[in-house]
Amino acid sequence: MLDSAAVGQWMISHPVIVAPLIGWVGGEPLAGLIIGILCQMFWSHKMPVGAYNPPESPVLAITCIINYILASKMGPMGLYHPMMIIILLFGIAGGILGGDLTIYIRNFNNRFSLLADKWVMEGAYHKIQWIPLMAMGITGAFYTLLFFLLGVIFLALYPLFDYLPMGGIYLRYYPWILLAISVAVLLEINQFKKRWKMLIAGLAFGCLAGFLHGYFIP
Amino acid sequence: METHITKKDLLKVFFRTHLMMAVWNFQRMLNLGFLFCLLPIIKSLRLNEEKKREFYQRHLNFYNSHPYFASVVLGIIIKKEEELSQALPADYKNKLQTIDTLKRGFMGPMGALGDSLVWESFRPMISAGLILIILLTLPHLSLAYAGILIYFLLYNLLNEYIRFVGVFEGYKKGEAIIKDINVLNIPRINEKLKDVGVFLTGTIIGVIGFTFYFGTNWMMPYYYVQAVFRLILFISLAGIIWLGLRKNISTTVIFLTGLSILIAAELLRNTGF
Repeated sequence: MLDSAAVGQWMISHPVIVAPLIGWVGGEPLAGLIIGILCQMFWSHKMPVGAYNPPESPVLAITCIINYILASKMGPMGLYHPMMIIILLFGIAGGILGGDLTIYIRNFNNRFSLLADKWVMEGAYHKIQWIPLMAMGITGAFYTLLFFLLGVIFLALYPLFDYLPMGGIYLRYYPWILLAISVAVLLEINQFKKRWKMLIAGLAFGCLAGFLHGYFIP
Repeated sequence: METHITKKDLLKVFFRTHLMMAVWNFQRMLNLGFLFCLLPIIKSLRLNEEKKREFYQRHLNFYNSHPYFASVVLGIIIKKEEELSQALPADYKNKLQTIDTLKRGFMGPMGALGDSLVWESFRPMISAGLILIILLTLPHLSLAYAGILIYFLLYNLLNEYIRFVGVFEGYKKGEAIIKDINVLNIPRINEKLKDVGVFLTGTIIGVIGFTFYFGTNWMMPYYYVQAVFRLILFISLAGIIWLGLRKNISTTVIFLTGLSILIAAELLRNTGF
């Protein structure tokens, strides 16, 4: 993503920030928050260390929230669980494609090194400072194209979603799987086996906080 | 040594560190980003054409580090480049060698430091904190958005601090900055951050079990039984997923498997089972 891989690393592209932001702009702030927390830890145990490129969580979150906004504007189906599952599956596909796209862009950037070598040999030093801007433009264009294509495919398939069942008793448990994945990923990253006392303390505090939440914020 | 590099030059380098990753490439990784950050000091170094070409070629070589901690190396290299630009001919080769050695010697440790401190400890801890804030404030959107703003500011406070101090202190102290970094005892900070991360994860589990909007009402006596039951189920599910992660099963496969089970259960229910 442009923020995490190219500019600033301010982490605006974190799912838990970017999804609420887009949700707020698109008039779906609650969906943005929920998608943000469900997607935040999904691929977080895969660190962008060295030359390794994990799937892109920001693309997952952005695709989900954009498609949710599109679905909610098209009709009430955006609110149903089967539709949300389709949106998440689109997001996962987008995230995996985003990871591949980052690898492609980084391969593409090899050309800029060669270009810089050439400009140095020619003495055209002033041109080198434009290379990051050119690279950013290309990265931005590639990702915009990816989101556009994912949105168009989603809209093209939308009439088919009419055949989805609207309800579902068991399907409503899909957020629990995502939340459990988030917790498992956090435990794995933080090596909880060495810190089980902290986990128990946190659990006790969380139960109390959850109870007080129910008491004070009905 | 006479210094021509001004605070304004260093400030420009600091701002440019934000674009260091823009041209990350597989062949020479951060080389172009590193060179891009050094461009504001070239004028102050007052190099002739030959030395200028050497400067560019030197920094177009392979370089890789953590984007935040690379600023420390930048600061050190700026100082060394300044010394090189004013070196006597007899000293020139040695100083040139020093730059190469320092750049190669610092990039690995700084990369490892950033990866462990920022990617593996600080970022997951902040993420856990934010998930918790949102879970606790969810019915009130403005509070949840305020939480996001706090997250953003807290995270970037560290980001900008490391970049700024890295460039300025790296330039001021040169390679001696490593002593300051050692004093910080970063592995210990890492451990503490992970402790907080685990505490917050435990809190998330507790909140999921006992929070009202997950379908229970604290005023009903049945609430407590339901909450404990849900807590046990959730911990079991997270434990199974954690075991899957330990076996290197990806989260995508885990989610798709879980989803398949739910869809199968739904289909069975619809067919009358």
